[in-house]
Amino acid sequence: MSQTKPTMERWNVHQRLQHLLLFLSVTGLVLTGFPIKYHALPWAHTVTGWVGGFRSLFGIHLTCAVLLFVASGYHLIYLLVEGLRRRVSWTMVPGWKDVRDAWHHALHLVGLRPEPPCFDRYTYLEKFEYLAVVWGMVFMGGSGLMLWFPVQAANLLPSWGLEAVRVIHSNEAFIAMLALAFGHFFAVHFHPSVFPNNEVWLTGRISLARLAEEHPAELDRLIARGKVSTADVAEALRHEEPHRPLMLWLELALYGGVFVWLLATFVPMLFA
Amino acid sequence: MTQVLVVAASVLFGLLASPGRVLAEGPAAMVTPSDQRPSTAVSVPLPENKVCLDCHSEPNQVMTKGEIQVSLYVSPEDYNSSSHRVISCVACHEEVLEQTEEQHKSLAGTILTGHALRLQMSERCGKCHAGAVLETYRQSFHWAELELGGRKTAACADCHPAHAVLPADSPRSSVAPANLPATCGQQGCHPGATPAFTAGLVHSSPTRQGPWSPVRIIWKAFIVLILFDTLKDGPIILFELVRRLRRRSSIPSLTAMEVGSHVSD
Ligand code: HEC
Ligand code: HEC
Ligand code: HEC
Ligand code: HEC
Repeated sequence: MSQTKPTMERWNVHQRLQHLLLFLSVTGLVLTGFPIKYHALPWAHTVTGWVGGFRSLFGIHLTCAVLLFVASGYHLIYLLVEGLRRRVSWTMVPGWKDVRDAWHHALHLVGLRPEPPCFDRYTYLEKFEYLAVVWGMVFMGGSGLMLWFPVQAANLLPSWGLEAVRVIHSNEAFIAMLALAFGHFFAVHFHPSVFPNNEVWLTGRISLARLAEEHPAELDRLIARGKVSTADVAEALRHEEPHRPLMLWLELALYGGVFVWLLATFVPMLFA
Repeated sequence: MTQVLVVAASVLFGLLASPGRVLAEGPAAMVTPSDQRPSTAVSVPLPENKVCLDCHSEPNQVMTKGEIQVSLYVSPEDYNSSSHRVISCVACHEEVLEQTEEQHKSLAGTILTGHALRLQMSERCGKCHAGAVLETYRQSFHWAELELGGRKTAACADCHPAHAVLPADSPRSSVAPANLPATCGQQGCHPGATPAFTAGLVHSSPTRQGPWSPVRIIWKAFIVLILFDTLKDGPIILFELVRRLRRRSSIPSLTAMEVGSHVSD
């Protein structure tokens, strides 16, 4: 039954709600955690001032942590329920195609393969991001709980345990922030074809044009199942996105700068 | 008016110049807390401190500050058998140097006391204890809270009672392993602190540990992860931007027919 719609649903309401909880809690955690990590820098004091002092800063941090646990619980229950109804989607599970796609994508980016990889519902980068959230949840949630209840945690740990836990919490926090501010924000906000915002997280809907560009394999399947008509796709593809060289140059300067800064900061630390 | 105190204090401060210099170099040169201690020229209690202790050795002496009573008692036995017996009272209590005796005896309410004073003193401990001890404290969560204006946190003098500091290997020290559970559990800070909880080092950081210590390895592993993320996302973003700059149209020129052809992949 083909519907004549330029967009189609990508995320249902549960998925959007989970993303919203994740977004709110992690934003809160980053905003209140980084002033503690970088307490010696002036902006840390500014942010602490905004929320009315250290105790409220830390209170918000712990509240957001609880919210993040709620978000993860929601996601696990959602998976379980969908699993029981035998409706759970396995499209997020990585496979060999993702390894091939990553290689193909690399060649494509440097110009050695003209055609882009034929991504499915989730690209290898999106799967990586999802797994990074799972990994981050285990490490940040685990280490955070231990720092919250250090006396109890110490009974489970070797003598250097609490110090290690603090190193983990502080550095994994940076990784999470980096994955979001650098990788994820580019993918969903600053990527020229989605700028300023990929609306899936709000409306749950994706345009057929973007589906054709980013998830052609999924689109193929939808066409094959008759959920989308080729005419609609052809229609959607006629609207070309504008070419914005100024924005591209600005982004290039910005991301190039951040990239160099990251290398200059962390490569020496590797050998320190 | 004879400014006994002021004179005594400044004389004593002048005398301190020599051990003072030793001190400034001593603790500053400390590499790790357990490393060799600052050697001190004077190994007997400073006679100058006697002036202060004469008045402050009365166990029941208190001053009233607003609602609360602050004990002014400094046990001469404890102080003179502590590591700090070789330094002057006014090395920490700098304000006293500028006071006349009159002013000194009616201070209540004008300067910080108790925990607030300990927090303020944390900066001063660093005058002599620069190096690893101070640096590790400044990296700690305790200091982060203090620096960001939190007041519930541990100052140097909460863990090392100011008038009875002793090295960790002295059985009477607040930071001797056997006493640490009590030290950490005081003032409701870490109720129920166990030996397991206090087993780790306080003055420690990954950069100061041996190359194969677990904490250092974990730290390095996370630096590798940060670099992995940087090297994964950076080039993808930059090449994508460059690719688009070089090509006018960014949407791959797929026709609906081509889209359909992927099905057979
Ligand atoms: C003549 C006796 C006398 C001498 C000598 C003396 N003090 Fe005091 N000190 C007092 C009295 C009395 C108070 C209480 C003041 C009050 O109640 O306001 C006090 C208070 C203090 C306080 C507490 C102030 C506060 O608000 O936290 C400190 C610290 C202190 N003295 C340090 C010293 C030092 C250091 C010396 C030596 C240089 C010294 N005192 C010498 C009598 C003395
Ligand atoms: C290493 C720094 C240091 C030295 C040296 C030192 N004090 Fe103190 N003193 C402190 C700190 C910190 C406090 C804060 C209260 C506490 O820890 O109990 C304090 C508190 C006091 C108080 C009580 C006032 C209050 O606000 O609680 C008196 C009185 C006092 N000291 C006198 C002396 C005398 C007398 C000497 C020398 C024998 C001396 N102090 C040496 C750090 C020091
Ligand atoms: C005027 C310089 C000076 C100041 C200020 C100072 N200290 Fe000390 N500290 C010393 C010296 C000197 C020693 C003794 C080293 C020795 O015994 O060889 C020492 C020893 C110690 C020790 C015992 C370690 C050891 O090796 O014996 C501790 C703990 C300590 N100080 C803590 C503090 C704290 C906490 C403060 C602030 C409240 C402080 N110190 C302020 C000079 C200072
Ligand atoms: C949370 C409690 C705590 C705080 C806060 C703290 N220390 Fe310590 N300190 C310890 C413990 C415990 C040790 C024993 C060694 C260790 O665990 O690193 C120690 C050891 C030391 C030593 C060496 C003692 C020795 O035996 O060689 C010095 C000096 C010292 N601390 C000074 C300071 C100074 C100065 C500050 C503030 C800048 C400070 N400490 C803050 C708990 C603390």
